Amino acid sequence: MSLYLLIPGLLLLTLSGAPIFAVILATAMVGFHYLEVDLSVIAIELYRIAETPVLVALPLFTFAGYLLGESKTSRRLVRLTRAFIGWMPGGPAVVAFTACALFTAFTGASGVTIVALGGLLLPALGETGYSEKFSLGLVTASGSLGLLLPPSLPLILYGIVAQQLDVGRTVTFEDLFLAGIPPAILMVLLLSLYSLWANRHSPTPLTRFSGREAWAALKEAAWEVPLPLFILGGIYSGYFAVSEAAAVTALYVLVVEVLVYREISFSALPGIMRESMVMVGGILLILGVSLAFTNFLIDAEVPDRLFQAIQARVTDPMIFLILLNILLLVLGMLLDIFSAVIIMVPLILPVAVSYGIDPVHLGIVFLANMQIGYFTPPVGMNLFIAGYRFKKPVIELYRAALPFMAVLLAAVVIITYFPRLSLLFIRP
Amino acid sequence: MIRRLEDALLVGLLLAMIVTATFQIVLRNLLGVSIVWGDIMVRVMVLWIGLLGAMIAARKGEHIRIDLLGRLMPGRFQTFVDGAVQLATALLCAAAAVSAFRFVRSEAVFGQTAFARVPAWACEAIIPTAFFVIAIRYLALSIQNLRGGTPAKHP
Amino acid sequence: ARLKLATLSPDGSAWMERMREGAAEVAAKTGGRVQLKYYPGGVMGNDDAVLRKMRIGQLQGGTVMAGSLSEIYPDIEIYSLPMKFRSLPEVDHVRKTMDPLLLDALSQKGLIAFGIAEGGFAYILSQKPIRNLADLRQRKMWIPDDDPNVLEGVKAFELKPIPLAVSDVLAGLQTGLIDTVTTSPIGAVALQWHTRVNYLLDVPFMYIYALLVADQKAFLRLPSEDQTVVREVLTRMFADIDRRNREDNIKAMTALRHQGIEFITPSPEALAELRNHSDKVPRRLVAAGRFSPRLVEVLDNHLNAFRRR
Ligand code: NA
Ligand code: NA
Repeated sequence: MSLYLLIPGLLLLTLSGAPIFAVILATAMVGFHYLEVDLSVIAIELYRIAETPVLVALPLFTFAGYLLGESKTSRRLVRLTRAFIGWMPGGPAVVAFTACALFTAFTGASGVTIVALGGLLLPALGETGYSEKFSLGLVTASGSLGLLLPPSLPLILYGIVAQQLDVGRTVTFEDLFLAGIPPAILMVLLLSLYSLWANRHSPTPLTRFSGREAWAALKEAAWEVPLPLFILGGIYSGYFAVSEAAAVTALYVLVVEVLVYREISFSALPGIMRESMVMVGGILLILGVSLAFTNFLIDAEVPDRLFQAIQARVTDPMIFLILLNILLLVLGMLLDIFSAVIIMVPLILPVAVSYGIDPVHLGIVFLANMQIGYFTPPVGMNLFIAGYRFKKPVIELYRAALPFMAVLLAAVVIITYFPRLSLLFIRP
Repeated sequence: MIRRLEDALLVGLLLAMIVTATFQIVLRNLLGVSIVWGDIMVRVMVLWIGLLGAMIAARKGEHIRIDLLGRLMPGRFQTFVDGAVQLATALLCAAAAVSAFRFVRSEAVFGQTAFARVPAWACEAIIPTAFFVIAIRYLALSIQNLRGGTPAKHP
Repeated sequence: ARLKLATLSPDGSAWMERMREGAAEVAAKTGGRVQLKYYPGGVMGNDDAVLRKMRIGQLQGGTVMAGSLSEIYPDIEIYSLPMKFRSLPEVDHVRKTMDPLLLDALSQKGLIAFGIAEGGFAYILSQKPIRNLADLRQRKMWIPDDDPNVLEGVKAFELKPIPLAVSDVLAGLQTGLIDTVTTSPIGAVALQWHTRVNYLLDVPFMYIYALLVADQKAFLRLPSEDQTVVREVLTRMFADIDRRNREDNIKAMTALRHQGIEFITPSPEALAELRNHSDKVPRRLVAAGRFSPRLVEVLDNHLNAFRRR
């Protein structure tokens, strides 16, 4: 069997609806078969999940996110943001963007945002007077907004992969965390401007800022507001390790939602645990087989060859960045973000650094592209999760998400070609 | 029966993970002591939770997929394509289960310890188990679809 | 034939350059029959993963830390007993006679070892000064979370260590989760830990080292004249790396001084107390069945002979 027959075969398998993990697994197995490597290697690579400390955060944060989603946290969060910035023109959209961004930053997994906030935001936006198409696009596009904000997991994962690579420049978590903030603000800003423009013929009513409502909203969410401070404070004061912060978050949210707010009953807990861990299982299995697939690429020396190919053809950092954006958008369509970081960062980072691109800036560019990849048609995790959550055909979501994608694409171009934006706080 | 066991194990492991990690923080900050193998155990739990979740997701074929062609095809044909793809998935997972089983067996012979007194092979045993269970479940889904009976529903 | 070897050291490092020279020499001397292919930078996974991949035949060998081989041959870690060696000449004297012993024993376990490369003495680096055992006991000391021998050492000193994965150590030092680490000067500089500590206890705490190993079955498949070439070239290559690492550690030690790290020499009484406790470690490890009593005795005899001279 020729390799050239294999690629269309795998493509057909993918488009016919084979699980993503199965397609990657098939690729890895065929690849190792060609290299005459014992297929036990797949189990060895899967076991590396148990040797990666950062992954401990994944199930714990996802569980916390599901708990927040099952309780009325999202409503309180929306009320809070509306109370403080609801006076702004286009307020409800801005509120939605901000809420999604903050939620994604803390839940990490982008699907959680759509599942947890989307179900509330979609009707809320509709009530405010936005069209269904606009609301649907907004929620789908916002599902990965906040990926650049600390402590988002992909950001941490990028830092870890980059640190292991030894490219001659260190990439610290502090730098990455600070670098993500201005680009994330830019994205929310551009999306808000677009929302104003798109609804210029039917503007939504404003809510006036009221100290009393702000205080009431703050008091209502009193147990949830300190969560981010509490977690970051715990890490930065050395009371707990980064990997333990996730456990504290899960425990805190569990106590607050079940015992303080009493919005989740004890009997509902096992079901929520199961649901959230099924999602984690889906992600981890893809991650595990991706590790095996990456190992095949390494064994077959693909990174070396790609490095040499790019090195031989590209001489200009700008051309390199253009190629990179295209490559990353395509990858964002095909891979989930964790696999993409693990597979592509070791390939791209050394080349990028050799062109004088700052590794911290590259991380932000990488994740910004991936963020869009989540809902670029034809393939994107957000599109499918939204389709599932809102019971809408994917084609309808394509049309709804397209303008938002165009706006974010413009943001990515700005982020890519103005490194000063990402490096604003760290290399002034 | 197997389903109950899976669910119970999954819930138990998640709770144990939260408790272990929190217990470590309390022990360290109040008593200045740590369980040395605690972190390794928690990491193995992540693998187990992930693969158990993946097994449960396979019950109804809920693994993330991109179904573009299927949406363009008439319903009867779509059911057939689904069945065929599920059969392919089952075969792949079965092959992965066999090689993973051989690996775990050789690890048992080698006899390495993972943490405390727990042998490495016991931690790794979830890998062939998960692939085996996923294979069986996709086979069942495939048979259901290929027979053209009640089509198995997809997200 | 191709021998695929994995290593943790990154591509472009001096270590890898020397490894590549060795590969070129093997290819030249075997007329291209034996090709060495390297996987640097830890891309094949940690030592455990590398050893697993050797067992299934994806890899034929690699460089691994001595501790990673302790499941296969526990005595291989014998040089790492805490405060066993007081100086590098002592190490050289002991290794001259004991290296062949250890490598030979490894080959009984199915691994061909081409040599031992020094990682250097690990020192205790801390954010607050450590002058004696009492100071040490107050520190939040990091230990690797996957080494049972270290744990026995820690028990002998009655410390309350904080186990962490290596990847969490720098963050731990930054946040104050830990304030004390034990590592070689090269290691401290490479992992950037040296930017987060202020003091170095100027007593060699333990000797750390790596081995270049190959799977015996794979190695014996080579034609016997090629086996001779590979063994000769790789042994010489790794001995070179062993020597260079010593020079690199001296440079790294200077870098630590330039960084402003204060070197603390303990008083004779404090040193005696530390030695007193470290002397208990071999007994504990022998009692735990980790080291053979005979080998510990051989090591002590060599050391005593050297010290009497
Ligand atoms: Na996409
Ligand atoms: Na690694």
